[in-house]
Amino acid sequence: MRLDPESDALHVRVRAFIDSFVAGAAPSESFDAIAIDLARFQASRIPGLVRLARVRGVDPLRLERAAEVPAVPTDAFKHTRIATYPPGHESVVFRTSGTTTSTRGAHAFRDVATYDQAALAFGRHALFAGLHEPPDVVVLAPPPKEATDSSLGHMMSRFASELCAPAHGARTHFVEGDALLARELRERLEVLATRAERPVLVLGTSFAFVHWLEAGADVGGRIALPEGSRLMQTGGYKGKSREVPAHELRAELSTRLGLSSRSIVSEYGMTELSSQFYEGTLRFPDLEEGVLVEPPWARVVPVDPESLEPVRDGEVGLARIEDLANVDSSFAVQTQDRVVRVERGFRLLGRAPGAPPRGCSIAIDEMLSLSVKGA
Amino acid sequence: MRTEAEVKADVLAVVHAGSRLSERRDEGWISSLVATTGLSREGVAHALDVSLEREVSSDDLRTLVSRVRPAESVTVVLAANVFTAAQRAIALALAAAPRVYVRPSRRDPTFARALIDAMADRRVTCIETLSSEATRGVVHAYGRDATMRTIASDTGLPVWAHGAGLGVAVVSPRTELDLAARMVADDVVVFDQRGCLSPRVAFVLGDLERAERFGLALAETLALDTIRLPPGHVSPEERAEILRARDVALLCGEVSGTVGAMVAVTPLEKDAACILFPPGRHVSVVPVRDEIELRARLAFLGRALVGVACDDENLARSVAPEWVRIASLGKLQKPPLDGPVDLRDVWLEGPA
Repeated sequence: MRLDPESDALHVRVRAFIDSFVAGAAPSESFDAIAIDLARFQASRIPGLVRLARVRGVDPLRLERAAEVPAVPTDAFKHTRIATYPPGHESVVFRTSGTTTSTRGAHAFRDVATYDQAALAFGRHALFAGLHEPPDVVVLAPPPKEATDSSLGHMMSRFASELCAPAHGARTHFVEGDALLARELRERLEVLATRAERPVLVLGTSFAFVHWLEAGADVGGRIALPEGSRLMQTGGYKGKSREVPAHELRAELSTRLGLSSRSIVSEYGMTELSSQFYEGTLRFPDLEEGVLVEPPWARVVPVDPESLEPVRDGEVGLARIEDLANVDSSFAVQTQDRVVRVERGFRLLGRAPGAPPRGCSIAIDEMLSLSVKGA
Repeated sequence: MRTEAEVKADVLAVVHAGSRLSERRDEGWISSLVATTGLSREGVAHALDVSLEREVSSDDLRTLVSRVRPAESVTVVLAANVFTAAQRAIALALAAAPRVYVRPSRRDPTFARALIDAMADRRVTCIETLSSEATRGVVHAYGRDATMRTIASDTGLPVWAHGAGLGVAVVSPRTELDLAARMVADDVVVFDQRGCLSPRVAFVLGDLERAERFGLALAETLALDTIRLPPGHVSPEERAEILRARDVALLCGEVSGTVGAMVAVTPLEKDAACILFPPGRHVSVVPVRDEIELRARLAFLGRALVGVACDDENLARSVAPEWVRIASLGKLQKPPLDGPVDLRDVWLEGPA
């Protein structure tokens, strides 16, 4: 890992902020103070951020609030490198899903320790709430060595190794290549359910769970996981399975695994970020299902699609995400996900549909689809 | 069974009807075209001036006839916005079959209906829905790919699919940049860049500095064009998408101009995709080192690529895929009437 004193100092500050949360203490400096310094640092290293700021009428040297920092559209990660250091010094590069290198976004990490710390701290808070001992874990994803560029895979593997009980040689990951090992998964869940030694944490993507449920006809019925068990599901379907409405998937998983619906937690994250958001039902017994909670080092701000200004309270907007843990890329990221803020968190409403195309000039997603097929 | 001469006469009748319509400029007619196309009044007039065929050579006519698949009847399904496309579409249909049903775009039916009225040919009629008439023969469909797949599935008929696409401009090393900018702008402003040939990307052979000079010249030209040829309506959703593409482009390079006249100069890394702005007179300018890189960039666009405009046509032919229309700079939106604009020749043979 390349030494970069300026970046290292910011990593130290962000980790201290995270540590204070873990310790239940007030942070020694504010979110905005770190954010402004992050934005200045990033603008000093990434010329595109200066151009973006100029168009918005913002001077990175005169920022006063985190809200003033221009957000980088997630699409930008597909077209250019968003990093504060030269290529060749990254310790890992996470990529978005997609079929070719040129259609996948890339997020390079010089130092993944802050990412890990943030993921573990908030994962422990939101997903492991109420547990008195490390749970057994089952992951519906490939093992890390098979998916080295998946941030989700990396996160789930960190959960497995740092926060869960040792598997003592038993399989923990149940996807090989593109194939879900449905029978092996069922057998492992049945063993864990029968032993009932400790709760079980099931981690996976929505499409992996759909595949497993569809395989269920061949591999038996209900499994009653031990009390305290929980499940984390995340991600869109991305054409890898049929799309199942969220409430239907939750109900099906609840029935199949003997879990309450409040024990089935959605996670919202993306390759372009370092932090994640979770439904807060495990941590907050009185919180409605569908409400996602934020760690103190990351914020979700609904903004108007055209002006990118924050919408009024209670209005739907596109998620602008401010993430202190994105030290060496972009503090603020602009998504196309529709969100609305509610008490104690926000709801995710799905991707913005986009303007109906007019005429015969091809739309961007149509072009990518054709260019991939023709490549 | 029509003779070859009769087929050619039928095609010429469509051309002549379109030519007569190109002269029509009464207020009600222009206003209705503005309302349905979303173009400005000036944009509508410009399209009537430059996009309708007034004559066709014997060679082009012969080539057109050779490119159609004869059928008992043709049902034409038209798209919105590129309103003069109805002339070529009906000409192709009549070249293929003696009986033509035309379903105009629901959003943009004005010109197609007027053309059919002007033809006054009982063999060419307007229909409202496909189900009643499209029971035999073939369909010639224009528009989004998903729409055409639905048509193929619903009708069970073979569909000649003229889908969405894009054009690119290639500025060769010998071209004078201000002149090239004028010519590329001429292709961009027609129909506010919403046609399948409309150039969305300009590849400039040379270094970044040359691409930047061209980009500035193009931005200035497009800005001036907004005065003589104002762009049409842009919805808030479209504006948001354009500004988002602009922000992505800013991370990659310099951007000049505004919605309705915007140019980004974005050097690309080896495996990176071109930034594609939504249509509306927005162009990505990409420097390319040599023909090898140019060929790779065009190959990446795959079957989305419909047309290449270049001042050096030999260069264009040597790097472009075989199905692509080649034209001089500024002439991409004026293909000869020798067949469909889109030469990808895609047939969807009924339900999947």
